[in-house]
Amino acid sequence: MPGAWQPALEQLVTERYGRLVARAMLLTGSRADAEDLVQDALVATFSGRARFRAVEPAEQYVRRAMATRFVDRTRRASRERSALDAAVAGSSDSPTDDLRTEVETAMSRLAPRVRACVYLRHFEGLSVAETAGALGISDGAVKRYTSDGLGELGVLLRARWRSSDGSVPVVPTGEVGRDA
Amino acid sequence: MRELDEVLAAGLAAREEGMPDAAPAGVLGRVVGRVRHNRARRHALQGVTAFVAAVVLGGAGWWSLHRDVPEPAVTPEPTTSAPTPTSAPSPTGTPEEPMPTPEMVEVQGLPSLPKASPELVTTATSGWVLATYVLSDRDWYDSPDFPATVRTLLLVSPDGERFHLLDLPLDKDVHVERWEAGTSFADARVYDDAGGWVWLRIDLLNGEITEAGTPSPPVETPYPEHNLGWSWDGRRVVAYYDDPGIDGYTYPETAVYLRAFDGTQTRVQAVTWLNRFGGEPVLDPSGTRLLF
Repeated sequence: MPGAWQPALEQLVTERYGRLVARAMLLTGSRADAEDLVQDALVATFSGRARFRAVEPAEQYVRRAMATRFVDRTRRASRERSALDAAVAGSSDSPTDDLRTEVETAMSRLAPRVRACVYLRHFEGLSVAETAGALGISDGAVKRYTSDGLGELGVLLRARWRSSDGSVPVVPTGEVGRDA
Repeated sequence: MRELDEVLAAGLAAREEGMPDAAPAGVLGRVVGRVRHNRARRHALQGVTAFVAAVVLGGAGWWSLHRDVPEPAVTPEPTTSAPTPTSAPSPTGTPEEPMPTPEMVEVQGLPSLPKASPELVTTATSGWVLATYVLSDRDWYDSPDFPATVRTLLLVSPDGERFHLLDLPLDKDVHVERWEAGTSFADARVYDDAGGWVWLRIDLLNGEITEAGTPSPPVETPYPEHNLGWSWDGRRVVAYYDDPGIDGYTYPETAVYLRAFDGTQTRVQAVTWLNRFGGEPVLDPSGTRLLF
């Protein structure tokens, strides 16, 4: 018997799955992990009380759930393995490396929590407070991680980024890829 | 030097352009299956849900458990889609009135069932339940529409003796929700094509199904309501998500309402953080408390 939640889920999977995976690849760096993340986020979103009448709010929830579940995964991974960056952020000898876009490669160099902040703030357009609520960290941490992350991306991508106060962050390259 | 905003946007756009819209074959089925499994497990665990907070409904106090509340609804649904062999029915547990030899009814997948007489329905006591027997030649996993070949309402004695009560429409996904033993009607709901549902009342004596209750004013939210059960005083307990707004990342507020048959409804509680944890209010069997 179909549940009331099912039409929105089916529409997401049949019409917007690719876009979700594309965004998830900003977090995971690999397509296989991105697909796992998207599917986990879909299951988490619709296993609760979500019965969205429109697909847009459902997609919003899934996209944000991807970030929170990504951080949860990295926490679990850090408990299970000491080499967090190699396990989660992707290693340079990953077979998918040559298939990544330059942005995905640069994002994969960010620490997981920094990456999640950049993803939610920059790609999802969430406010500082909203990002803090989603990730369970302070507003100050969001500001710091986002600033650090965008600064690192600027270095890695050889692009210019100006913060809201007009200053250009200077991020020592030695900090790239540090754990958060 | 390039602008970072433009580089990031171009990178995402390049990836999106290379992606097909639809998921690979099999993904939808797996995701739907996992969601169904999780939701079923959550409902199964309702009885052992650790409660973080409790809300007393309808102004009843904690002492209300000691009062003479109506018997809780005992209408399991849905029943198995695969028949199970049963032993010969036992006469124990039936009302004391001697009954004539009942008419036997053939239901696909079940042994011949005695037809429930009106007297059996109206004299049933605590412990008798209604059960919906659904048989389909397809599994929901392959067919979201879940077409039924048999959809029959059974009356079951405390000892498990089954009686054929009536046949429900095959093209309607009717869920019996509440029946108080000895009454001649049951409350139910049926899903509509839009994914919502309407409330129904089933006359158990003649099989007539009618829409029940006066519609309440819609709550301003894009999300459909969730039926949690029945309060101790016979009102429906429903919950809504309040709209958090698409632009924001504020988790929606879960508001719980009591809705009477006359259409009036009362907002009794709202909790903001429920959805974050995938939680859902659980109504206790006595209909007096909500557990979060």
